[in-house]
Amino acid sequence: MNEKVNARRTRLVALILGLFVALSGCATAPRTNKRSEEPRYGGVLIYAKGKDATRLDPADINEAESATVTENIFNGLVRFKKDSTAIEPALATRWDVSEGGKTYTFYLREGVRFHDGTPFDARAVKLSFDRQAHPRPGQVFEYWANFFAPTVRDVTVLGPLAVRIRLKAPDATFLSNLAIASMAILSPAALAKWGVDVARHPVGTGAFRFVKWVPGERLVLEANPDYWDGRPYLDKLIFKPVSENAVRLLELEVGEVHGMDGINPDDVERIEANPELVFHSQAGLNVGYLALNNLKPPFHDARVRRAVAMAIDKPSLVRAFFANGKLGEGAVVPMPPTVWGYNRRLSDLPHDPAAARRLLAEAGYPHGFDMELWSLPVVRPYMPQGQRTAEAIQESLAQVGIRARITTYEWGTYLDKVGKGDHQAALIGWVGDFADPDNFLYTLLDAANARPGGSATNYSFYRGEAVHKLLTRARTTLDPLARARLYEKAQALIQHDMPMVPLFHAKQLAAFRTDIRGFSLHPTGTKYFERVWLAD
Amino acid sequence: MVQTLLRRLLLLVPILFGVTLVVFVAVRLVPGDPAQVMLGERARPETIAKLRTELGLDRPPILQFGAYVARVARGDLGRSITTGDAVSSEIARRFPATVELAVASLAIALLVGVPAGILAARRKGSWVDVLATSGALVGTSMPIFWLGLVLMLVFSAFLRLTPLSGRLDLALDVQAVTGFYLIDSLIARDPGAFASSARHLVLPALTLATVPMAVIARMTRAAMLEVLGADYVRAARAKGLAEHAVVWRHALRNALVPIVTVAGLQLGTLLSGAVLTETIFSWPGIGSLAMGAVFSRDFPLLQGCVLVFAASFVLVNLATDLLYPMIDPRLR
Repeated sequence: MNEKVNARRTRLVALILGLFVALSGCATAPRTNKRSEEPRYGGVLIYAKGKDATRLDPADINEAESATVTENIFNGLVRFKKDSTAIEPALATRWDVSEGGKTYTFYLREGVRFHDGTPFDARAVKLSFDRQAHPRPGQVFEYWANFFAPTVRDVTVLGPLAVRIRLKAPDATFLSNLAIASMAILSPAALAKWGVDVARHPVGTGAFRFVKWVPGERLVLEANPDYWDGRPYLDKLIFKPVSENAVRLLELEVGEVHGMDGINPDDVERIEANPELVFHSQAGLNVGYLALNNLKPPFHDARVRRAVAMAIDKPSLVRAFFANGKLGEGAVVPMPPTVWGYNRRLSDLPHDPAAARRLLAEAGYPHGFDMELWSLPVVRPYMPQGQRTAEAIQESLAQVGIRARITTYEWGTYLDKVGKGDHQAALIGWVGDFADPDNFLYTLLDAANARPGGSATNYSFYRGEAVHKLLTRARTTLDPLARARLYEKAQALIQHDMPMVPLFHAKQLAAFRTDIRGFSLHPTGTKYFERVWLAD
Repeated sequence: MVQTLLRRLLLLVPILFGVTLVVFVAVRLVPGDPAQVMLGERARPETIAKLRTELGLDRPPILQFGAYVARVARGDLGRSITTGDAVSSEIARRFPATVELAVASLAIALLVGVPAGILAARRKGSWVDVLATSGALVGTSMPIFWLGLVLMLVFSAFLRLTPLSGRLDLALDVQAVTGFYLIDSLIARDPGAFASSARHLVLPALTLATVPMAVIARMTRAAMLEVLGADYVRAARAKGLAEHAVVWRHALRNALVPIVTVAGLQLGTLLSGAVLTETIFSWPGIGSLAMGAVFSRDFPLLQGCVLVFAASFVLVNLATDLLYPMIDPRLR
């Protein structure tokens, strides 16, 4: 009798528990898809960042914390599409490219005004660019110096709404470059009024107007009601710096802020388990790789390089160092798949120690060899755990008879030595400047960037003739489709030659509360808030 | 009096020179070329060279130091590498927040520490004494970082009584007049902003107050014990004075000099010791500014912050010394 009652009770408890689990299961289902609502206007969004912006002069920015802010205040002539790295019109509605690709004529959008009321015109474009081309002493406009100074000849006003930019030589990356944050157009009136202090008084044509900046505390923007691309949904957008990762997440959890980046790897599961939060992730504009010095034996032999690539157990590296793929993914070529021109037909070489040993034997190293493996002394986005990654690779290589000795140097020295080609094999990586295949493939693998003894960015010192031809031709070809085909071909050749072993693309992460709608990460890492809205 | 003041102010010069030298050397002992580190792997050699020249890193260290001292002597702390702004204006923007936090912490430390010390001294050996003494021991040995996070978890995340970080609710705004939000919100007659900035101030001030609170309690207890045994206290009691009058008017008055000394020293420590607390609570003062400067290797900014820390420490001590004669006429 008693037993029966107990059994019944147990069943009841189980049923209640089951119901509870089922209900909480419902609660964890993504709420964003439940209702298909219309975006609504209004509301204040507070976005927590790990670091405050440093300066808001878009031309003078070289870090993402500031660019995230200025990208919402300013526009350039062209911009990246919302979901890809392809280029679309912005302040220029269309453009002509002359025969030979050396002259671009931009036709500007009519009726646009800067936030201070100044009309946007060709003069503003010329002023914004000339300021960078002719900096005052002590001023360095890094992006212009690196990407435009070598190619741009001059900027001419053709009429109120037409600008001509002449290049010294055809440059297919020009439009991509023009879309980056530092090529924003500033209000000539603000430039005249503030001078150098424009870095604290940004006036653009973008979705949000600058209101106030209390360093370390808040940076306030408000909706630009006259935005040429339609008023943003939010009334206000506030950036709040919160330096501690744990505190930032707590603020998101209790609802003091609506969104954040700079997420601790260990916190990803906690965020995903929280029904009030939405976790965003996407391949970032970066690559971590193992640079094999092609000028030094035995890595001058492609068979050895392929053997190394097949010996390394990339999937388990991703599992171990990128939270099972949540924080990063394995790289097939030294360019993230979010960049246009990525060759999707390529698949990664398999992890195959037996095949690696055969290749080594074929190359004349049946018993393997000794080598030096340089490990990263610092945490970089593309390689959060350099030393342990090196140790894991060392272990993989030992399986095929390659005896690697791990060495490292202080970061400044490391970069210097790798640039000179002192290494045999070194862990290193690249964070893209702009979303063009050229910025990855040409920078990292073209013969022009492989001058040992000087300062190279092609740390593998690879000088594949065919690849060099493809990459240089792609630089001067203006048709995007033709360029994409050239890059796809180059990637196939690169994978065959395996000058370096592409390892990872770290993901960019962000988390938002569920009542924030319309946010998506952009491949370039920029956060755009103009289409973001607050649900009740 | 004026002579003493002048002599002490002159003493500031060698002290600050020493601090400048130590910081200058320490900052440069960090391995690596700051220009290379700042620009990272994308840097072209021309860019690095340009930045090195701009930072003056291509000159011999002794010349760099000479130039730096000469500029500091003129009141020019240089320009921040990251923001491009004058270091002095960066610091001026952030300093009020640190002072507000430090003063609030000192107030908490005094309001709790002094009564606790007196109580412990009066009931020496009782459970009150044991509680106060062991509390003080825990207070001095507690890691600030840990304490801040625990307070945050309990009062902000769990009880939702206080905000997690910052100085003011971001929906509110006050016009900066003095830079002290408590005062500015009063000037603006905005009770909401006053309440919000007070709520934001509580946890960081409490966190920062633990160590000085403990030190002051211990000091008060010791000073009071000494005084309570003195003849005049016995005399006061003998003539039938009420106990609270004996303790508060006669005894405390005489115990005050060492207490003020300690409190002064603690205020100096608070101003410069706010680095961790400000970092945890995202308090926009010079503590978090200095921390950011360390991470971004912003040498001029870091040097400026440390100089300001040192100067405020010395000046507060000077002010404390000037207070003595007012408390104790024998020192006039």
